[in-house]
Amino acid sequence: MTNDSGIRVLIIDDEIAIRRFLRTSLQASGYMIIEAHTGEEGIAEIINKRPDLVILDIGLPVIDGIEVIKKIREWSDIPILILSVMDQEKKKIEALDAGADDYLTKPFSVGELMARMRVLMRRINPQVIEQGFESSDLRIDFNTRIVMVKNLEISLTPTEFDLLRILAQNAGKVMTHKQIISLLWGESYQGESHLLRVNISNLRKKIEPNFPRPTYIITEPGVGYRLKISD
Amino acid sequence: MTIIGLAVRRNINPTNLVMLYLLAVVIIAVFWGRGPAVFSAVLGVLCFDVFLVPPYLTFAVEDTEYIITFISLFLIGVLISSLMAQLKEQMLAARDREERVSLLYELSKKLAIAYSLTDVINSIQKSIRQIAPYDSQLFLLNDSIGHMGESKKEDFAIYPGLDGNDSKIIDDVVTVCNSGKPSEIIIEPTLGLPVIYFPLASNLGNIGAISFFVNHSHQEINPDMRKTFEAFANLSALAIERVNLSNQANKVQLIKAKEEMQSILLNSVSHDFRTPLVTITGALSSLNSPSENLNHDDKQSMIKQALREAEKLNRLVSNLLNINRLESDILNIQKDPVDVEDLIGSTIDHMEDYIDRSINVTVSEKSLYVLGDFVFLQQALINVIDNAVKYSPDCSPLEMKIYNNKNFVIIEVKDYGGGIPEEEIPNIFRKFYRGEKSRNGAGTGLGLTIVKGIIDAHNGTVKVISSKEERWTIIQISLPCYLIPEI
Repeated sequence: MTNDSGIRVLIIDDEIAIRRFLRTSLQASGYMIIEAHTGEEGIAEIINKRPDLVILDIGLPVIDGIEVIKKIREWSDIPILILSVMDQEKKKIEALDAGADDYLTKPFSVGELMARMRVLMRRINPQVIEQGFESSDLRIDFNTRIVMVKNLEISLTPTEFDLLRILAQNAGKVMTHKQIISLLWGESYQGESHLLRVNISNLRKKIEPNFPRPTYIITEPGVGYRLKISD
Repeated sequence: MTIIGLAVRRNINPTNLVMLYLLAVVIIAVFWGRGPAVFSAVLGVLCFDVFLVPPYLTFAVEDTEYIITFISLFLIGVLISSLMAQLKEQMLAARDREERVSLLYELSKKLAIAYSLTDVINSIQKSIRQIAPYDSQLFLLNDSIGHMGESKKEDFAIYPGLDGNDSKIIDDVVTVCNSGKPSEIIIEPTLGLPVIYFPLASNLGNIGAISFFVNHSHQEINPDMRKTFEAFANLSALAIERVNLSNQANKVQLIKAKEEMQSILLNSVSHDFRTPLVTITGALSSLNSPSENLNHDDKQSMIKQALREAEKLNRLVSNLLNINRLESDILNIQKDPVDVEDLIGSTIDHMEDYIDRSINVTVSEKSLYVLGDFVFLQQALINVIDNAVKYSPDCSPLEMKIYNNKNFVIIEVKDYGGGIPEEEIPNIFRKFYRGEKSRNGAGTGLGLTIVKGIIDAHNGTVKVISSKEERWTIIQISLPCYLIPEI
């Protein structure tokens, strides 16, 4: 379990009840909390207080949440986790494409929040480029391109492997359809989302123990996919 | 006539011949009119005198009584021919009138059944062409509702359209409309033919005018025509007014119905929001109370229950939003390829935390895809499963089957909750409908309505199949297959 104490989290949300609730739950786990009511205030606090992570509510009234992300991304790599509402898929995707790293749909559980925060925090200290990925029964070696599930080697097509690798290199974090297609095949393939779905489907059939119940590759409805890291 | 007279003069008394002459004059009057009849009366008298009255072949007469006969013959001839001619004219006029009245009657009939403003306008235009020789025009105020006070040029729409250089015509129309009186006969420079304008009057002011072409250049139109035009204009105005009023009434009715629906919704919603809140508030207050003496398991159970009820509330909010979107027709469906197995897996994964039942899923061998919105389809499925859970006992199994039938992907959710009587089946998708045996509480009766709305928007169908004897119900969703292009 990572030591979360000392990590500074900036919460940008116009709803006082949500700020209060987040403050209470996160402080209990040792995070230091900075609060901001508006996008402008938030950006100022990033410059002044230098937090390690930002939790931003996408539904900010005056300055649009997306604008805030764009502004932050002009000069900072800081991990951004957005809070959104269901049925706002377009906005979520826009936010993720604008540079947000992950999202949570309100109402959410604190457990899920912390799990996603931890994933984002791992990027604070850029490590040596990972050689592989390991979680639960799934093992991937990026160099040898060998994939093992429960110690059984699985044979994947090159596309399937690359897809898995992309998800694994961003494990725990959501990847939008657009982002995956861009990394896998390039921008010109943006119209061919069916290719992505077919490959995900084939990949799942090969590595998921409980198909169609997902264990590793989770579908984020309307947004993209996420490779789940087991606790 | 004289020839016949000559032939029979020996045999018939001249006085009777006079009758025959008169008959001839009458006949001529009937067929050829006043002029020829008078002429034949004169001629008849002369001939009678010359040929049939002694002394023959002269104009002189022996017996002066014949002069009376002549004069009478002549006068009667003229009188009868006049009368006959007048009669004929009146008959023609009457026929004319009858024709116009019947046209008005036809128009009246057409207008009575005209449904929309467009229908009314079309009927008026068709009838105008029958009443006035060339195309006459209907001019209507843009909102065709009419206002007191002055109307301006820009306020008018014209049926059928005139082109821009007809500002004089519009000026004339505006004048007539504002004055409320018919115009004089005007020769419009752009048309070259005389027209007369009649205003269309309604309760709320003048709503327009009709121009009738006049096929002569007299200064006055004859009173019959005037009456006809007036009647025509009045009929038209009445019809337009009626259509407008009826539209307004409809709008009011719609608003009323909407408000009523919203009222029902509000009542339903407040009840369904409060119910889960009871559990949530109850659990939290209980955990909060210093005097609580629940053991750990009880506490866990309460917390879990409260979490479930909170999720129910969340789903309720979603359903409400969706019903609103469905009604306002702003369901924005993304059309992307959706992997049906992915959809099912994701849905069940989501639901298993919140329902205590396991679902037995059977999928088809090959991958099935549909074109649609993952999020909305998921919401529809959640509602279907939620429904199945609500209307079946906790221990009964839930089954889900996915397969394809020709060009359709079929998703079936089966519960063993006793089945639905056949009469109830058509009602299931109706708004606010709730089955009698709602076991597990909260639900506004909107769930399946939303399912139908979402599936309809995806060009699919939802069906309910049920067996009361075997006590099961299947909700069957059918969606068109999306064929993945060859990779």
